[in-house]
Amino acid sequence: MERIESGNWASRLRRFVSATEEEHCEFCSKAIASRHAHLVERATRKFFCACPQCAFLLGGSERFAALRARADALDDFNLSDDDWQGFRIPIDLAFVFHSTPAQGPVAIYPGPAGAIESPFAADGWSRLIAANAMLADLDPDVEALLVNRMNGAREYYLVSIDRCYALVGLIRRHWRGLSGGAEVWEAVRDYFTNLRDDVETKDRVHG
Amino acid sequence: MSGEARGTETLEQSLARLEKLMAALEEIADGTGREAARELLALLLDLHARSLARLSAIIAASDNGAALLEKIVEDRDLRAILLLHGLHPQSVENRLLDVIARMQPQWSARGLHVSLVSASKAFAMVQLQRNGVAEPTDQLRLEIENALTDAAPDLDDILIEMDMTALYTETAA
Ligand SMILES: [Zn+2]
Ligand SMILES: [Zn+2]
Repeated sequence: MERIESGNWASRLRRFVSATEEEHCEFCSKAIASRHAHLVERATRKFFCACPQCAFLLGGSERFAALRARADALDDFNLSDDDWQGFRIPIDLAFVFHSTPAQGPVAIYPGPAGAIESPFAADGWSRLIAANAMLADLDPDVEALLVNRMNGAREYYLVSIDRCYALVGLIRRHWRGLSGGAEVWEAVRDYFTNLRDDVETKDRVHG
Repeated sequence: MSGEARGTETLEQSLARLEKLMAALEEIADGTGREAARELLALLLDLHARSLARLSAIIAASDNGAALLEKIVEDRDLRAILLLHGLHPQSVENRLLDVIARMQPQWSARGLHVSLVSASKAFAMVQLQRNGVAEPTDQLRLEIENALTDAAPDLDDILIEMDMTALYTETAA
């Protein structure tokens, strides 16, 4: 078969047309596509843009974790109201994830300053995992359990950590007064509508 | 270039010219002109991508659609365009596995073993075991890279991981 000399021509043509504002890998400076991989520095939780090679080589290392977009709804989640109260989170909305630097589970929930972070009782987390096996494969530092029990809801999701920060930022921007105000809860409602849409229209293609 | 010459151009020639024109466009100092050209190209590609996606869906949903699509991707020009628009009926992974399976007898005869480690939308990694084969590393790498990129020109990069025996023979040499 005659060979196409230009190698990965299809990839390069696609990049060429989408390269209006060129972005660069923060590790090797190579130009990257507008949709690219991100690495999270475990200790600082800082996000870095990465080219595919750097993401592959550094992701899952001691210092960095690769961020994979994730939004799964957990339909048969086991958590009684009593158990939830036992976790002592003062609001019915929280993220829980395993933090490598903290060496244990950490909870993030909204508060007047944007978000409040507190250690999550390790035995409570073990009980949660025992009752919900899917939590065991949560990727430390980059994936979280999202709990929404507001206004009688009982919704649970597995999401990538960028979605946690998106919610934190959104709350910081919209919070008014002591209780947040109507605007912030409207924004949170929109957040969950978007999240549910993403769960439903998730890209099921390989890769 | 005249229309007549364009009609007889091979796929390789077209792609080589495409490459040159993209490079030339990058060199244009006039930013507005450059971005307009880029946008025009993006728009044209989008229009084609949209229609081709629908066309593929109609074919796939019709009787014998899968067989027909297989026949379509046997045509080099059509395959190239489907690859460009991410519409090749086979996943990157399967395309790479196919080409490895096809090349393996040839590689095995020379003591080489190639296996796919991972494949994502942008990037794939294969492992090469040389079992002490003394062929120059660069040449082997190029040969394998070429075979794989032909099957997956839509990947940004294909990384070839050499086994430790290779490393050992090289340091020892
Ligand atoms: Zn890089
Ligand atoms: Zn980025």
